[in-house]
Amino acid sequence: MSRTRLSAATNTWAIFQREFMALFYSPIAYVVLFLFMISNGWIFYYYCVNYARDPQQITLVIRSLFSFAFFWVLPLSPLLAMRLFSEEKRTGTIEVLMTAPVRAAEVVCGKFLATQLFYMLIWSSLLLFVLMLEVLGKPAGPDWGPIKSMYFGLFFLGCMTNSLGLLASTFSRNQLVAAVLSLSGNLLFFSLLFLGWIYRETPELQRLFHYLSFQAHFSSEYIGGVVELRYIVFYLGFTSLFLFLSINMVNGRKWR
Amino acid sequence: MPEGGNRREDPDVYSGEPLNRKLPAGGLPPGCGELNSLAESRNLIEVDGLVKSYGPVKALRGISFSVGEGEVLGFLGPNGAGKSTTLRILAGFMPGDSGRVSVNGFDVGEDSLAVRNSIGYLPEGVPIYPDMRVGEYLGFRSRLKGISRADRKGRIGAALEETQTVDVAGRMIGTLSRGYRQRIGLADALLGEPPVLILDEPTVGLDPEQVRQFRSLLQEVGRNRTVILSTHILSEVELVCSSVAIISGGRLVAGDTVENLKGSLADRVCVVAEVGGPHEAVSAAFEAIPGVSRVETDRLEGAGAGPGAGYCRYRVFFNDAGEGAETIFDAVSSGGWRLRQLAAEELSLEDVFLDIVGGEE
Repeated sequence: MSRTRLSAATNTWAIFQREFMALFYSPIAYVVLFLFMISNGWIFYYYCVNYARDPQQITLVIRSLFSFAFFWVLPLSPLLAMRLFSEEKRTGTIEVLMTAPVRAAEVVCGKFLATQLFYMLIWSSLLLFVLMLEVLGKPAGPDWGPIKSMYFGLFFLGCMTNSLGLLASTFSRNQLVAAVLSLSGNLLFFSLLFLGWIYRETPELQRLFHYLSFQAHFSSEYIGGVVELRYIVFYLGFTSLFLFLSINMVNGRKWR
Repeated sequence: MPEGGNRREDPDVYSGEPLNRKLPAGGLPPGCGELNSLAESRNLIEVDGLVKSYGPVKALRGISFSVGEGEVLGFLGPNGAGKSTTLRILAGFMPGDSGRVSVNGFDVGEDSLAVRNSIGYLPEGVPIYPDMRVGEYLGFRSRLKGISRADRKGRIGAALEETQTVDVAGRMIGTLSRGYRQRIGLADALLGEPPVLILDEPTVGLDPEQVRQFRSLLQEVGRNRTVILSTHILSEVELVCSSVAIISGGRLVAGDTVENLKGSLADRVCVVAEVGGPHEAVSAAFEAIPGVSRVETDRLEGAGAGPGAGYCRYRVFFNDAGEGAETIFDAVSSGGWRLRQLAAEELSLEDVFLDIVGGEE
């Protein structure tokens, strides 16, 4: 029993490593990282030049930086996760992979963890800006509390969007289709806040939509500095669902 | 035939995996006699009544065969016959619709991991990650195959050695030539020292020299393993394989050792005749001879243009050895045509193949 558990761990670890390295080999990861840093760097610069004359405004700069960067939640996971299975299907390497003695769950988990790590790496590039303010913005400096809770929330949100992206990539051998699918899923969650606004006459519906939307979580985490347990449960619930469906897809892939 | 592998002395005493020695219930099609008798030794691959459809397309319509230990089976058939489908099912990549498939004593559907543990599989086209270095890739694969850290280096080295790819170990797979990629695929298949190798069209896309090298490599690795390889190149089967299964339209149409298969047609005859005369009339006359199964016509270089002037070479296939050449001579003389050559020809496996596949249609 412990032997099979050990081999499951080794297989997952091997696939995790291979997948993480593949992200560094693929141009898409660098393109995403480049765009991410350029866009956020520009916003940071803009706010620093216009608002950060007064050290008291540092909080405003950081809040604006993260508010704008938050929109990256939408495309980031689809872009990183789209190739996970699509590429394997398109090139046929899935056949070599799945005829090795590995379980679908090990493959799915390895790929998911690699994407998750890369996702967090990309987000952590924002910390460079915050560090700059920490060093140069003396004596005020940034307030690390909300930043920590923001990252905490981003991690779980990333679990959900990445697992959705992974699921989408099991559907198609075309990366673009996979990306559009998971982007649509993210947009759905994103648009719930507006749906809530439309249904503001019905408080129950509004509460439900508000509860499901990303932005509400963001404001609670960043502005409120609080990570609520219900959000974590919410994210992890969806993550497990998407991973479970992915494993079924990979097993059911055998029709092809 | 097996070279007396260490586990073969007494199959009933062998204490490892359960032995599936059940013969196909419905029996095999005619011509599969040898495959049936091979089932007496330990069969590493057993396929019984395998059926598979892709939607409305029936890819396999009930295939049964078995491969004994140490045997090299050539899986032969025209494109779209169901070769790849069968091998994919054997490798545990996808399930069949019905029928029983076992590899190394494990059922492919129920014990997929154990099956995949005992095979080395080289899919058609050798899809391997182009963005990894050869050594890196084999390291990754050996971890997936559960080779312990201590053994890894030695196994990878041995596989590289065996496939003569030591010199490209540091190269990016994407930059390798087709022949080398093929060998890396084979090295990967050999990594876990599996008792069964499944190779799907392993020589497609290689140049003639690479094909020659690859075949000798296959002969080398097939010495102590059970190998099943698919191909549509007949000479390959004659060179590398100990037995043949011919599949056409999703059915097994013949299965036997190479010698027996050729031998079963030994009593059939092919007569080559060069005849001057109107070729439609000549070949019609030959086809009308009782016992003739097929006539091939080749126009000869420099044959005259006018009707009745040119010589053609006819290959006339008889179903039974008889007075083949004499009946042809009679036909030519009664037609009043000219005959300048008449000879009997030994049938190649290609003729057997065309005969069987053609006969199916």
